[in-house]
Amino acid sequence: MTTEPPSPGISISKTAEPSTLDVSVGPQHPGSGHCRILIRVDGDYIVSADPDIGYVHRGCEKIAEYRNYVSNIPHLERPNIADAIHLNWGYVLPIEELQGVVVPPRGKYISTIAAEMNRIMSHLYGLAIMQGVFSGHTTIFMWAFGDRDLFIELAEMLTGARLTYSFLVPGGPRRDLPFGFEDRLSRLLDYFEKRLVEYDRIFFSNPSVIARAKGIGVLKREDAKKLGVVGPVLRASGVKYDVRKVEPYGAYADLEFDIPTFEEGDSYSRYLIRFEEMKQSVRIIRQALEKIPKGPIARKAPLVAPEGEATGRVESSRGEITYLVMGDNSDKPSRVKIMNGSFRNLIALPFLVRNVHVADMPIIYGSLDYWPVEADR
Amino acid sequence: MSTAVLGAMYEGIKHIFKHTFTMKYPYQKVLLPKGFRGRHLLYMDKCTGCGICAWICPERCISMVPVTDNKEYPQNPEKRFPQYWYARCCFCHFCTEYCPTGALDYTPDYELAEYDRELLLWSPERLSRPPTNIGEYQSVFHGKDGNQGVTFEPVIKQKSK
Amino acid sequence: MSQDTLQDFAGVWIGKMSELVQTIIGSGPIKYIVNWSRMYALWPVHITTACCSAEFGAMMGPRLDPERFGMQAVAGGLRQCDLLIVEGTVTKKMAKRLKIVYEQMPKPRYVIAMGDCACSGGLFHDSYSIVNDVHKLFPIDVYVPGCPPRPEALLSAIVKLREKIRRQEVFA
Ligand code: SF4
Ligand code: SF4
Ligand code: SF4
Repeated sequence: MTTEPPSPGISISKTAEPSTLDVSVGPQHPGSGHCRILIRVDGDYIVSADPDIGYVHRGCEKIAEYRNYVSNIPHLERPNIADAIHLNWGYVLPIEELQGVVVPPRGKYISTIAAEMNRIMSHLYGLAIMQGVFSGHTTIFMWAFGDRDLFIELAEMLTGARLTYSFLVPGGPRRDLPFGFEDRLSRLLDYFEKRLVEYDRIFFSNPSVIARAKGIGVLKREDAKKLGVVGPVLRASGVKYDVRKVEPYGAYADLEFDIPTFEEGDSYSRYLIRFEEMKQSVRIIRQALEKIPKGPIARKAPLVAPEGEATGRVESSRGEITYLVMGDNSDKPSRVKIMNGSFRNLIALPFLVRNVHVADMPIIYGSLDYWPVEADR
Repeated sequence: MSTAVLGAMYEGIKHIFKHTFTMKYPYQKVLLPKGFRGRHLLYMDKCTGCGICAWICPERCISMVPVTDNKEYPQNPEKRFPQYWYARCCFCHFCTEYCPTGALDYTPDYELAEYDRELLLWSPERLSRPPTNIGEYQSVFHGKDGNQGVTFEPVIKQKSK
Repeated sequence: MSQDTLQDFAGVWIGKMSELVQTIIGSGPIKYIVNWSRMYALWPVHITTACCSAEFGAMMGPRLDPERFGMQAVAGGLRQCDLLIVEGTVTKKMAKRLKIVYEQMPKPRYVIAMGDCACSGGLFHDSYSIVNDVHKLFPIDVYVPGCPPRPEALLSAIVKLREKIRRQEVFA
């Protein structure tokens, strides 16, 4: 029918059954934009689906080659501004490894506190938009966004910006904890723990949410391993894998926390796993505030990195992020490569939405917590 | 099952009687913390025109321009100062941190919207104007651990309580 | 009288009458009422082009609540919307779609360029897949710099846009 050549990566065949219909969802749709999903429906059932990504491909990795190490930080954290600090940290770790700089313990603790706050904010964003709005639950959108604003207020106090912190530079964080920060944060955590109970009552134990999400989009343990999904999606399928435990970075080695896992692997358990992770983050921040040592926060790092390559792995809220940085004795990296959670979890979408109702697709899409900008880079 | 439905309804209805979270924005503004990264403030009597800010800037949005006014700047005889193009600045404030003389500073000004794109070019004189945006509202928890809701209240009122 | 001259005669009169109606509507209190209603019914299109959408969501959230200004969080279709907020980077792939979305919107339509990327290309100005000059795709009413702009900054842009609408002519 169309004369336009098929976009690369799209494999829906042109010969269709007469009873089926091809529908293009996006890029302008009431949910989260900048991604198109081509679905083929037969009646009310989805026969096959193909995500069409690349609407926000901005060439971060190429730009990184003509800016110096410090100037690269702002644009390398833009791929996921809901979770900026993890993208920032993943980039800084390999540079520190190349330069042989060791961050002082206080700097590590401050980074950990900032990262866990960011994890809570990011999960609240996911809860509000990806899970709340997509399942038609406006109340949780308002509540989660309101509480996220309170966390943002504190993040602003610590770093000076709302979302795009550019907080970690090679050598350590840019600022120390400001005066009165610990008090305000622990007061907010008290409030937030009470709120989590309310979230549970209005959203997670709400029969209307359970009816929509339970048993939808089941990803079995073996399939999850085979597809290579990461992060909360992997843990919701019963695989206990978390970079914070496997390869501890920052101050995670000194702190106690559990890795929640679920066996079912359906959308509802993917909702719940983020809820459980928020509880663990609260626990981590409490411990870190107690244990934080005194001393310097950062070391002076050179502007030049020696020749060689290094990788850094961090566990972001959407899964593990791996950075590869290659240095060549100059002030610019010769290659930066990012592997991130959103892209690796999107691979599961075509498998999950097969033979489900059209109305269930937003639920499954939301449960993956897919952030298109991060996947496209 | 039905108890869960009732629980969810109760939880929602409870919030009708709590404090309102919304802030009336154009009239009420949040108090921004010290060091909030808004637009820049340039101290023209400190800047030496070295151009380090323009070198570190990731977006190349700073250009060094000569200033034509009658004043004398002993530390900067060529009278070259940074000029910012805010249509491109990402407010990372690496320029402020790397400035050797402390001639740049943070301000809480963020309302930089303009009808015209050209007006986003801020000359050194415009950058050295004092900040205008002063907010005073901050979040307050009501009740024990905020179980009566959260509001935004003026800071001065909070202190006098 | 032949039919042609009759039609000409009618056409001239209809033209004159509609001009008269336009001058009446475009002046004084009726203009004020029309502009007032436009000011309080700015419905944004939901097309997110990049990461600034996070702050757009925060503006739609409970702290600022733009429904005070008659903005609806997620309006139904394009045909009911009159405000296009370009939320960040416009890639070459997205530019085509954005243009289609703009053309489908009914007049009068307003555009806010949100974020550095929409104003000038921002952080990615030297990338190979970015449209730096969004203002060449369609006219832009208000530019909001920031990366991302605070939700308050976006709301201040909307206040500025309302100021512009209040002063504009009805049949612009
Ligand atoms: S502002 Fe600072 S870094 Fe920039 S030219 Fe002046 S002295 Fe140099
Ligand atoms: S804040 Fe960042 S982007 Fe803006 S002028 Fe300074 S260094 Fe450049
Ligand atoms: S202006 Fe900044 S936050 Fe907005 S789209 Fe561009 S990079 Fe993202």
